[in-house]
Amino acid sequence: MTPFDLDLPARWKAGRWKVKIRDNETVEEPHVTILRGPDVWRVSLRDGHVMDGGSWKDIENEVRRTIQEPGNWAKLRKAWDVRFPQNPVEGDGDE
Amino acid sequence: MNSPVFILHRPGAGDGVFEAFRPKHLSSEKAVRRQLHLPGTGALWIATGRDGLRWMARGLVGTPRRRRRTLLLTEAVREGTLTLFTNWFDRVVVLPRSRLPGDELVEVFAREDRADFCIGGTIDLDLDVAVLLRGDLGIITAPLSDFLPSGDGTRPDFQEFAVVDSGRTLRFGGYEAAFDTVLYLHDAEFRRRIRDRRADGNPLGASVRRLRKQRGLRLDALGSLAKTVARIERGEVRRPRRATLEAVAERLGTTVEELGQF
Repeated sequence: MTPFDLDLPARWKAGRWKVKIRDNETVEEPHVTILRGPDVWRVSLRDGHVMDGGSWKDIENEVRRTIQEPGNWAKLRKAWDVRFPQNPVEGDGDE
Repeated sequence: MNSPVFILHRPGAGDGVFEAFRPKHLSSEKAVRRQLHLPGTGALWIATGRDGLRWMARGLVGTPRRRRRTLLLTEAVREGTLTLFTNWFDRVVVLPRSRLPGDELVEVFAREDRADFCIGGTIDLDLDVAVLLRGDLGIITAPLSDFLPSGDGTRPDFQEFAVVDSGRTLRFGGYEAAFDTVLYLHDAEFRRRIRDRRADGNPLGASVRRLRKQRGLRLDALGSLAKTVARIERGEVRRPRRATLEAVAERLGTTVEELGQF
């Protein structure tokens, strides 16, 4: 299985936007990584807030809407749980 | 980049990758030799192409040995040439073959936070390490054991290494690793910066938990330490005894001093 890459509309991909869950994200709370060229934001999969002091205002509206669309949001959460069963989106993973 | 920067290349041959460093361009052996003889210490020298390498090698002949800091080579050189350069420079850095494309290098070099990007690297399968070059030309080394298989069974293929996403991601075949995670594990200063952005009410507990998760350890895998670690992580024990910290640190593969810094 390849790293999880959320499929964005072509226009945003052409603008260097990517939304992915990588394979070694072991240090942080469950999150999805949004990239635009060299810029990066991380969004918590638990409560949807932008981590590290960032803001949704910095992220293109269409990209945000694609991520927050309920079907896509569920896919992202499931993709995280598959990759990191020891640190699941819901709960501690140790219970 | 506060130190002077010199770039060696044939006239018209520069590709602009290093312009963010505002280098002085040297396009002849004579110009290189003249600059090498000038007093002053601390500089970044960038030798590009065979001409740049030759001018540097010949220009060093008879040059007084001074601290010249860093030489960056954009291509590999023979062992003898490398020995020559390391004799004159504090640091010699060779741009790895697996590196960002030119336009992305330009982007990274132009950023103030360039040190947080990986611009290239090599995988040493004999020593089981990844040697990664940061945007500020510093080196960070990560054991290959850092790259644990994903829960879905995806394993890194170290024979297929690439740096992607403008230096934010390391790719090993079908496996991708965040460069930030490597920095977090192996750069104390980077960890401190990230921690400063958080508002942890329980810094020791949060740190122990992050480290335990990074090691892929469930609480029930800690045996007799499980209850103690759980209490520390929940913040029920704010100042554990030294012996306790030593046991936890050993189990998590770190030192007592670093236990609260993840």
